[in-house]
Amino acid sequence: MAWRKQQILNLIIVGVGGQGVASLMKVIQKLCIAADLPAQSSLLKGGAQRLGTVTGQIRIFLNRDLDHFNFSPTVPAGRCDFLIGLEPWEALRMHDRLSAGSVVLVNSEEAPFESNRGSKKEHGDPAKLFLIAPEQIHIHDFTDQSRQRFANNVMVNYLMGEFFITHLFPLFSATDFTKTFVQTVPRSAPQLQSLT
Amino acid sequence: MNKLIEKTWIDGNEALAWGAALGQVDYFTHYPGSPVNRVANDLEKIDREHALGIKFNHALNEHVSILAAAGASLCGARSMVVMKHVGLNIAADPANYLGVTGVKGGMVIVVGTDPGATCSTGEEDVHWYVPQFNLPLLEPVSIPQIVESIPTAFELSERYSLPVLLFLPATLCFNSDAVELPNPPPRRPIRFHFEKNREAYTHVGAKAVQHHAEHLQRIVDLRSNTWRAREFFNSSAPVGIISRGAAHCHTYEAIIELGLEEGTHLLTTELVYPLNENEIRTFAANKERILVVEDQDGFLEFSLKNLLYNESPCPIHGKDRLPSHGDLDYQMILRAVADFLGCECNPPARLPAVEIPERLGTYCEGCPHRSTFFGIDQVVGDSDTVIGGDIGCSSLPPHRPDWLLCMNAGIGLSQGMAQIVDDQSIVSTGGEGSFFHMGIISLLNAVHNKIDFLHLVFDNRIVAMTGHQLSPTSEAHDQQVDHHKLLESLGVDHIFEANAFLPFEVKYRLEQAQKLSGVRVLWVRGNCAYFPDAEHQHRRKVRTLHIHNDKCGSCRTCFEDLGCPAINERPGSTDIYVDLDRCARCGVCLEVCPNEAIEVQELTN
Repeated sequence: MAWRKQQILNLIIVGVGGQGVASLMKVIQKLCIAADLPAQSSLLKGGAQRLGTVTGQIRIFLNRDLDHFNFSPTVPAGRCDFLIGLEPWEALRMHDRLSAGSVVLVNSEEAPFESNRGSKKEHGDPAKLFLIAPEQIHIHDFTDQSRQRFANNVMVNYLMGEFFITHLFPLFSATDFTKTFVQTVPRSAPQLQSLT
Repeated sequence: MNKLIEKTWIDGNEALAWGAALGQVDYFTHYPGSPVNRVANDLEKIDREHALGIKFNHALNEHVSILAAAGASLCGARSMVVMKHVGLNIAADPANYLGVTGVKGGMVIVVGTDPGATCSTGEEDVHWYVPQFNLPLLEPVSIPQIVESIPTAFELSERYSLPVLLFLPATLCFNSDAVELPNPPPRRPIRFHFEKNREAYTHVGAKAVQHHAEHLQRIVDLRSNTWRAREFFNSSAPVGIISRGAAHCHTYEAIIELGLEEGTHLLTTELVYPLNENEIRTFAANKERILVVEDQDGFLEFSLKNLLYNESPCPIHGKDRLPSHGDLDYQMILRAVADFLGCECNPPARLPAVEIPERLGTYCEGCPHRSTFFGIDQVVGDSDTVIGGDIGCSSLPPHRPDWLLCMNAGIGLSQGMAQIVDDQSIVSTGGEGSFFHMGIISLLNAVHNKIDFLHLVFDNRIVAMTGHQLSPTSEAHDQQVDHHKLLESLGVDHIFEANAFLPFEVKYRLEQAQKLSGVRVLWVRGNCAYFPDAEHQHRRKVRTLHIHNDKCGSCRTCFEDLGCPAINERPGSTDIYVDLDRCARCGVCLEVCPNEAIEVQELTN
């Protein structure tokens, strides 16, 4: 992976407004501080509160000699090491940020394109459009998992973050992740209390 | 030294707020607008937590905001005013003369710019105002530098008796970094007082010319004595690169990635206007060529060429190699730098881009604009009626208005159309935020000119799109405006009211209003979904909804015409359902369903 050479870990989190991209990014930001890891991040969203594209980018500087304040806060094309897509089309929108070595984690449940509600246009299956080796893409229905585990569909960001930390990049402990998530998203406390 | 508080992540908005607090701001005023929409909220939080006692003015437009900041400054206060790039157009009238008047307490004018139009209707380059205002301009390049730049701006402002501009592009406003922040110092113990001095503050005839000359001299003094820039890599290299703002970090990283540290001398200037001539000449003296890396139109390149004209044989490049539109991303700058230095650029092999339809967002679940536009659609249909649009949440997709131009464009353009066309119905629209911004003057103009004209005000009782600041009609406001009395006193001929969550009431009132003539206003009330009224909050707790697809006639009115994000289609089926985790229980889908297929269940426990 590119980060091993550069010693900059590039993570992109994408989704649509209301899914909790910003919250998940804040949790990872806090974990970076706790681990004393220099990092930069950027959050891009439009004017809408709902269903617009939201893109969060975090660059973690594993090489502390780099003057990270002078580095770009956005992930260059082809340099994304990990992509967490809370919505599959939005994950696919980041396709040119990926390289053959990237690892992709995608929620399979699609959010409708609001502007196309009346057109009944079929877009196909986004999961099949990723040009990445099967072992490097992890597609699960985290929305359904959220319903099964928490009786709602708003914990997708937590479940994807937990999966990322546990299975893909154990830079932080899952317990710390959950504790930080509860601190950052207080409404999740009733659901996650038993885990903290 | 102040005690350090814990290291914390802050974004560009928070950095501006922290900079203001550390710079001992006394007076803060703003008109909210993305990308600098949250500075006021963040500074209020710091003010509360540290009991600083900063005075706030949540202005209703940028014109009054910048003047209020100037007024506080003339009494000795450190004042800061924040607005977005298009807001500077509104503030430009006084901004043209603040340098001539001069200031007493430090005054900082923060402007959020938007290359790439990520959160605005345009990417206007406001740099061209800077030489016209003839005020110093700072452009920090990173989160820590944003924090430091506000105290610096106050010091410069007080030293040269000039307001200082600070531009921050959207990219930096939404970037975050972990920084260590000291506790803000207490405010300075100053008794603010306006020292009368008509000689200085009245500009007429010869005095206006004399004050202008004094302004020019202050700029000359500042230019000669001030140099705020950082240099990187090899100062004896024959190739120079000069950057400003958000382009700096991309440029710095590109030079490292290309391994050009030895062959390049990078200069990043924080003080973008006026440029210190001697320092620029020194930088250019040993250069064979210079590349300017900056977003937008090329203001810095233009300034450098102007400064070195006929002096240096060193060619200066910039906009011949980088675009003037959109946000400059890393890849563009990497290629431009590689090309300029004649080196091979081998970025990592990336996967191809996949074309995905753009998602611009939509109204929230429970948003009053959705049901209001449903009502309007019932009247307008596919007719030739013109719907004038305005900036704000009401302009979000599915884009019902016929134009979207600038604040209060709806109420202004419509008047000209109403006066000039005979066979077309004109309905202008706008939120109450816009109405109080300047729409109120436009409405008075319609009364003054007896224009036969209908305007709809979407009163969601909050300035919603830019961060939920209070508006004069907010229920939480101490002195909530009585809009009906206001419209009466303006001389509006016919005033109609409707509940936004009753689309057929909107339809009925709109039809009534269209039958009359004169200046007509339809005031549509309905709280923003972020601040639901007590009834809606109660409904959210006690009500659940279910769509009976066996009763549904597949008219798709709720799914397509209303378009609530909480109403979805089951994959691979035409069945629709209500996503109860999203549903705000506003009840509008019940109103619009012609088949009574949506059942409400009241939870008794």
